[in-house]
Amino acid sequence: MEHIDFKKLANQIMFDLDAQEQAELKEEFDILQEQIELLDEIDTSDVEEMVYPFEQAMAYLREDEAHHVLSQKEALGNAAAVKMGHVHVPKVVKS
Amino acid sequence: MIESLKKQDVRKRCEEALQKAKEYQHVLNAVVTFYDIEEQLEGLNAIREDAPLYGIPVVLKDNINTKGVRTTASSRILDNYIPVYDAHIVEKLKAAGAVIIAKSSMDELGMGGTNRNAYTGKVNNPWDVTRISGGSSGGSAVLVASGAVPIAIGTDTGDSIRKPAAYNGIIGLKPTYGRISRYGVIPYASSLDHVGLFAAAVHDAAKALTVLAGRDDRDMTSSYEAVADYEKAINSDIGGKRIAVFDNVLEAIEDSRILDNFKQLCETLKKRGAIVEHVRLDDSLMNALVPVYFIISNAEATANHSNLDGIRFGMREDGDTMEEIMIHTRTKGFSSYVRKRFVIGSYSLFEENQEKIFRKAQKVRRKIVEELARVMNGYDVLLAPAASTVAPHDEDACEEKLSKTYLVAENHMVLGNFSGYPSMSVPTGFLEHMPIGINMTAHPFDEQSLFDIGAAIEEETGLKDKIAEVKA
Amino acid sequence: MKYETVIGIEIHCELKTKTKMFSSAPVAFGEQANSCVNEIDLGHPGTLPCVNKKAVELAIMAATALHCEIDSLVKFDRKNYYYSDLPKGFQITQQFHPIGTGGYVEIDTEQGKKRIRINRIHMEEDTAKQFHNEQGTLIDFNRAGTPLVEIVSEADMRSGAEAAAYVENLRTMLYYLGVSDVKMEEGSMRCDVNISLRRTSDDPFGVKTEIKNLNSISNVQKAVESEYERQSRILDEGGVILQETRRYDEAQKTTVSMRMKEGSVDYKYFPEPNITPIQLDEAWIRSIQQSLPELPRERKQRYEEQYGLRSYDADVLVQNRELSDFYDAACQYSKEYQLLANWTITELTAALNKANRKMAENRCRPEDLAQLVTMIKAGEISGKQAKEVFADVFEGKDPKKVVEEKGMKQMSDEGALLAMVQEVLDKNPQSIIDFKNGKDRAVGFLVGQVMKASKGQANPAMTNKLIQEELKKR
Repeated sequence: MEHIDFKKLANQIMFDLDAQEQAELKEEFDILQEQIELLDEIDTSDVEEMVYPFEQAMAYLREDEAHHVLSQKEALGNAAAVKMGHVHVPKVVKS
Repeated sequence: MIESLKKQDVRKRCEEALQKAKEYQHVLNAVVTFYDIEEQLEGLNAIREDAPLYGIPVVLKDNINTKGVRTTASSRILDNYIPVYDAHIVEKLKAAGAVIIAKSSMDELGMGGTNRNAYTGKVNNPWDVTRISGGSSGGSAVLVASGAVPIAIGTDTGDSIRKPAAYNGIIGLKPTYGRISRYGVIPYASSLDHVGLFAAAVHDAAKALTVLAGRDDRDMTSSYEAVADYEKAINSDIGGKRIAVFDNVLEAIEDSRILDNFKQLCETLKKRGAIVEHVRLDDSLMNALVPVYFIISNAEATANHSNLDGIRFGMREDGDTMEEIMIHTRTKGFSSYVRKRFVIGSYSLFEENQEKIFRKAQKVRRKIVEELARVMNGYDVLLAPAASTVAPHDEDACEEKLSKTYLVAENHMVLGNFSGYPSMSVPTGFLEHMPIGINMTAHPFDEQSLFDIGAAIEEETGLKDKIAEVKA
Repeated sequence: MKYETVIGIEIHCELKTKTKMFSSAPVAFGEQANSCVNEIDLGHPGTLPCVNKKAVELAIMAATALHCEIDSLVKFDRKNYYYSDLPKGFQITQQFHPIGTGGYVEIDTEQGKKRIRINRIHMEEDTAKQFHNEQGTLIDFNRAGTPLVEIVSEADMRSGAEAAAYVENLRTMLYYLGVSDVKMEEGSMRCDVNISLRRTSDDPFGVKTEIKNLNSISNVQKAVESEYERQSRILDEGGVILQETRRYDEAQKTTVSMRMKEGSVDYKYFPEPNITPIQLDEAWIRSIQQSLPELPRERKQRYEEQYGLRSYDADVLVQNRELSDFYDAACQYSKEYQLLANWTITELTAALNKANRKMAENRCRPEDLAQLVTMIKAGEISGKQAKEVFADVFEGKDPKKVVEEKGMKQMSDEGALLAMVQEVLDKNPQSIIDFKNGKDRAVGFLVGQVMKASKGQANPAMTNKLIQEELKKR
């Protein structure tokens, strides 16, 4: 498998990996590569992706009636930092 | 077990269940959060005594949201999370009179098959505490197997109910996809996730399914299919039932004692009038089970858990910017095992990789499901040993291998998740004092066949309500 | 112009629904922060999306008005990225199967009518609203999950004026449909413009920049024009255009760089597994399409062809739907279409402005204005009287009653008028002499005298005629 920057991959999905974790991940990618090879053995030309276990279309749509809303207290109850009824984060973009 | 429990006083049976779970905790380590049951016992006043689970103590896997009661999915990132709403099945259970006594341990976010990967630590097997419970619904499995509760809720994305059920000598049911609403259930991989249950007896499992099943408008994948009174309809006379034996699995199992137990069961079923024949699936498709599962589940999981960022809920770590908060929170909040899986999932979703990895896996999934439908055509169920060994010791439980035993014998139950077909594990005996079991898969919404044949097996093995004696 | 400007526009519109795209929490503006959400909008663990029927209906209406082909099998996808205003860490959108594709919008240009092709219209959900201050960022999730449609044009516009006409056209259209509030200033309609230049229309497209979040139609035009200046200057100097995201700075009257586009961001789109494809009932789609309200372009055409209005007047009316609806209602009571249009556009609008009333607070009834116009045309009251009467009609009074109360009814009885004319002539012999001497303005003076004697009620045309006749007899 080509060289992969695992730290960068991790940072893109908002976490870090230490050196050991990166090394372990390298091994897992080797297994992934072998798994991909197992899949390559299977001819899937003219096969559609299967996204759902049951694909028959549904007809249900929700009626546009408001019937479930949280109080502000409930909405913010789990947030680590709240200011003036808002969820607070220090700064959104790096300056 | 439910019927015998019902002969006892409601308060007494619920308190005893809670008591047992607490006593066993230092041995089994199965519980994340114990419930205060007083409020629920009072709430029973509003419920008819003939409600199907009236005053029956139950356990929920800790990925089932319970309003006002901490729900962590055994992940550090949700260690302080107090849901603001009940999962659909919690509403159903309460309406049926069930009393929740505890939230049980699981592999973090459902990702794993050993239950070693829980924030609260490994869960022990009640038959031999040096062995694993299996996972990811390990806590729920051992609380039924140890006799604390007759019913426990689990979820099953690969085999997370059916494998631990087999390791713990109990019934593990994963019904048809869409049979039980997933609303309020913390996901792993949405297209593979199923809600199901553990029980010590087939009748109890059937009763519980009737309570849990049914259309829920909040889950767009939930089914309109009518819900039967499965327990009442159980018919253990299986004369004429057509059973397909899953040869690929038998061939991949090395332990002849497990094979012997299975063959003996097949003979018994034949004696009861069932037609038992052998089928096999294409080998290259069987070898693809694990890769397809690994790729699809990790991809869906990485997206599903993008909401865990410490902003609106969960354990937030400090940082000078929004990005830093997210990165610190998620680095500390997820185990290294989970983070590595997310990276793999994310990688397979990159535009330049999707065709080769993610979409390829989805295409192979279709071929596998078509193959399953082909071999099951004309049969009521597909039957195989649930696992190739008894519950392993801690050190033996290895997650990823490319051996045939691992690819086929240890992972065939994922077929039920790919296809959405209902599937159930049933105990069939013991090997060196450790339980072993079989797994059956039926056609969509034919859970009744699983219960019918399961009841017949139970009658033959005498393992109904068989529970482990835990030395607390 | 040295270069051809190539413009494509993406518009996001909040749909006018009572609840969110995927949750039953209310959609509301100006409510207390974080009080219009439920667990779904906050992206709590275990939540699942559930598609809003009304949002689909409104999207179908918009797609139909845009002449798009409707995909009756509704599917959704996930667009994955991390941001504090995006609760789930992905947005549910329709990347692979938009509800509408391949339509067009017609605009008026200096060269005549022009079709701007629509690539696609799809449904998605809005993000939370963030407020930045020195201490950090405050997040209000009320907006999170609000239904949106995104309308993507082809790069068919060639000037700032065309771009503005396109946005204006879409804005009025969506407003007429009742699909959206389309308030650009408040963000219920948001506009991103892609611009590139090229030497001639035979050249391939140049490198484009994207100007984000234009908050008014005039700014769309200004932004395009200033971006033309900027890009052409760079090209003139032999420079290269960088692919970047810019914003329009109103104070500087120029576009300013926000960030570079480092390749395209990989959003890792994949189908949303929690929403099984939804098969819309074809009969339902047809019924929505058949009951589509009249659109501004159609209405303008009707005004011109059926009512014979001047194109300018038709435009003015159509651009203000409430005013136009009033006019339409008035036309039920009078066939004096142009005169009605004049009174609606000029007098009614002026009176509303003066009284600082919105159309919604208007007390003038369309049937009363129609009656007033009919009375003018029939010569029952003079134009001057009509303005006086209108002051009361504007407050909701019946013009007939006003005329009666004020004793204003125009005198058109020939016998009575003739007697009055005779009397005036008798009193003004000098005027008769002047007339005989060829001084025509004497007639005007005499008419004035009759009007005075009749307290303004004499029919001026008839008075004029009678005076001329009588003068000749003397």
